[in-house]
Formats: sequence, C-alpha cells, structure tokens
Amino acid sequence: MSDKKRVLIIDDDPAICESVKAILDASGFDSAYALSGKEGLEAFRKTNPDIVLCDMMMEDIDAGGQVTKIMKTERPGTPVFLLSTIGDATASTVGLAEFGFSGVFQKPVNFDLLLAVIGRYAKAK
Amino acid sequence: MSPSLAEIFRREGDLASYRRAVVALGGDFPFGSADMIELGAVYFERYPDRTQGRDAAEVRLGYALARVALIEKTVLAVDPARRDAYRTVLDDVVKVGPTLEALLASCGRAALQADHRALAAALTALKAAIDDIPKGLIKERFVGGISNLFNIMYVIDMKLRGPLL
Repeated sequence: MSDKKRVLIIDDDPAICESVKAILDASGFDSAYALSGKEGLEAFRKTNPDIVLCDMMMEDIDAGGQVTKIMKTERPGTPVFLLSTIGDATASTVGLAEFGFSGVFQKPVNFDLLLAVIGRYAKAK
Repeated sequence: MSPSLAEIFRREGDLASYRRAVVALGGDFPFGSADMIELGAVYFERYPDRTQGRDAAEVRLGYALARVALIEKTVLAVDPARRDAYRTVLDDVVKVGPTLEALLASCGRAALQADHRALAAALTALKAAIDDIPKGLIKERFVGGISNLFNIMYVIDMKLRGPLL
C-alpha cells in the first residue's frame, strides 16, 4: 500500500481541480477531487483523506464552510484548508474558526507556501 | 475598432462561438478592469447568480469566459509561432507534458524558460487589472479564471526545472 499522504480537493471548477491535482501528485501526494460540497463529503467519508483542500462557494455560497463543519465534527484531526477567491479582509470576517478551517490559501494559490504547509501537516500525521 | 468582449458574448450564443470570435481577434481587444466588469455584467444578466442551489455549469461558464480572454492576452507575450502551443497548454493542464516536450525538441529549454518568464509577467499584469475590480461576483469569476492559469504556470515551471522533460 502506498505511504503517500492522501489529499482531497473539493472545488466546483474541474480545471482548478485538475491543475491542483497535477501539482500535488508531482509533489509526492496522492490526490483526488470532488466537484461539489455534497460529492466532497461523500469522498471524505469513503476515502478518509489525510488533508482536505476546500473551496467555499460551490452549490451554495457557503457550501465549503458547511461541509467543513461536518468533516471537522466527524474527524476533528483531519486538517481542512480553505482555497478561497475572497480577499484577506473578507476571509477574516467569514468565521474561518467557526467553520473549523485549519488555514486559508488565497487564489491564485502560492504553491510553494501550500506545499510547505501541508507537508508539515503530512509529516505530523 | 475591435468589438468589446461584452458585445461578443452578447452576440454569441455559446462558449465555443465566443471562443472562436475572441481568438480571431488575435489579442486585439480592450481588456482593462472596466472591460472585465462589462463582460461580467452581461454574463450575470444572462445567468443571474444565487446564494443557494447555484447552477454549476453556469458558474463554470463564467470562469471559462474569463479564461478565454486571459489566455489570448497572455500568449501575446511569446513568439507568434508558439502561441497556439501555449493556448493549448493554458487551456488544459493535461496537455502540458506532451506540448512542452514538442516545444523543447523544436526550440530548446532556454527559449521555454524565457517564455515562462514572459507569460508569468503577462499574467501578473492581468492579475493587477483584476485586483482593481470591486469585490463581488464578477471579481470572483475572474480570480477563479486566472487562478487556474497560475496553477498551470506552476506545473510548467516544475516540468522545466525537473527531470520530467
């Protein structure tokens, strides 16, 4: 069985999912994606990923937040990061802590930073 | 004078027709923040957004409309002979590997590295225009649109730096 850490990407834009997956897989992770909050929750329950990267605005404007609340209730130890198109100022007012996000990466994502951060979480698991 | 993207989208019925019409302009169209806002306004006129039960296909169309225009402006930064190849790559991350291999064989790594720098600079300039759009859904579509292009640039850079090519 592969010892690569599994990352679940949840985003309603298939192009973003494909490109994030390409970067993660080339960086030594084993990633998969889901195209809505609902699909993402199903994939989370089925595959038990080590790390989740989740968009906010999908089928509902706060779908990412609602799904993250559920994921954090079911498996509090799994880090969930928000991939966001909202600005830093807005991000600070949408209740990241209330939803349970472990952190936020603004789009366009700085992948040097993202890979360093999730690499640290992966090592700690 | 070239028609605006908003006029083109108003006139064309679907993404494929819009893409053909925009590509035919060869990058010769106005594309500042005001033009992005105008295109976004026409898009939201046709596909009003909702807070609940959003239509995924309509949302994705918004990203795609933005990307078509962003790619056309971005590829102006490289030699015309290679623009089609970069259109292909920036439109689909799966095409990065095979397209870069073909480009590498025809023009060498140094030229591709110079292309990467030129494309990245063009995208950064476009991002600055997007940053000037007021906060809201139009900006969200453009940020989503350009984000994937930056992601693909990162994949290209990984390939140029690594043993994959």
